[in-house]
Amino acid sequence: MQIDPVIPLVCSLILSYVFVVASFHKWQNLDEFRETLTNYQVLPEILLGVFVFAIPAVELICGIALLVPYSLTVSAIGAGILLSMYIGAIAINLLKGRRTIDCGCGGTEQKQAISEGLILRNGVLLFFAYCLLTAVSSRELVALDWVIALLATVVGCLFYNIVNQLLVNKDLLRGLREYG
Amino acid sequence: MVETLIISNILLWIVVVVMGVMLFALVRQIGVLYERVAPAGALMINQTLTVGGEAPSLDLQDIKGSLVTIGGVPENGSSKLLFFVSPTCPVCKTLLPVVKSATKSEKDWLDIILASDGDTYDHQGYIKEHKLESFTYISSEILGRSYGVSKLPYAVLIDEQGKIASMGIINSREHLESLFESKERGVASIQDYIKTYSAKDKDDDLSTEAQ
Repeated sequence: MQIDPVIPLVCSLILSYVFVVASFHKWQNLDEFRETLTNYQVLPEILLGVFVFAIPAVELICGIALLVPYSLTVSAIGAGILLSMYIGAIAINLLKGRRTIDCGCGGTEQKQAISEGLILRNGVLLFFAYCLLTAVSSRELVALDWVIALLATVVGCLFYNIVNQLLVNKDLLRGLREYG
Repeated sequence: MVETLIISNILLWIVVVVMGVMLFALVRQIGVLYERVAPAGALMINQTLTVGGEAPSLDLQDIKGSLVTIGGVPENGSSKLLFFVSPTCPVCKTLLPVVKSATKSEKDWLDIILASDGDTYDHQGYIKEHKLESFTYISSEILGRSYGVSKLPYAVLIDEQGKIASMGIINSREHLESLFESKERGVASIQDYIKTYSAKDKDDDLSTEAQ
């Protein structure tokens, strides 16, 4: 099946935004990211030191490479691997019943516990990465395509932030119930 | 005809973007509301100590080598705040300015002591980095253990009679202030306060109804 070229264009722009922002948050506070990574309890201690730097670095490289047509395929595969790793790590912890650990996705000021919603969110992003690897129908992009692609990207990024905030809100509300 | 469709399509996209922005703003506001509504009190988790009980009495050396007495009735008649930190805890770092400002604003009645454990060398770097030279800084594992501290940053407020006035995990300025507040009002914790307060409200309602 071939898809319209606008779809991978939008997908790559949204994924690029997601990864660059995520990497930026991690660089800002590496100490805290190390703690988050430790809490996940999926990595042996020797690899921890490497991954603390490798994950934000790979995220940043993928985020930028997604914008360059030549490196699109490689970066889409990279993004897919990263997202699959996150899904795996979250799923393992959820299965173990460790629901209160911070997901490490929202930076320092936004704490967000891991949940099924997060897996779903990453699943959608993984689907976007998949869209970048499928065959594209050969159609010249006209100016209108670019306008729509840009607007759709803005909407996509907004939705991403809305979903994140909703997940945070769910945690906050649960916290409130525990007080009552 | 096609032109009309194009214009209408772009207009619709713009509307979707605007609505997305509004939706995000709304969701964010709900989040802020949840945060504000939550009672900003330090959560008490302590199996060793009880509020109102005697604070464990210990004679310890601070990092400069001078002797510090924790617990018991203090000679200068002021209360003591034990603030447990660690150089490896990121939240502690963000709270140091709050502790510093509390030292100034509460100096009439309160002595603040920073407590931690582990390598002395780490602590000296920590003190230097965050300019904590003016604090009494104790590095002692026994202190943390005898005060039942399991999570950081943690604070224990000991009143002028050497009794535990309040304690809890401190994650924000509000949490620290809630310790002072609960000492002043004589309630153990924010959970306690809400419980007694709502019970009193009910009593009041009943008595007005009876009249």
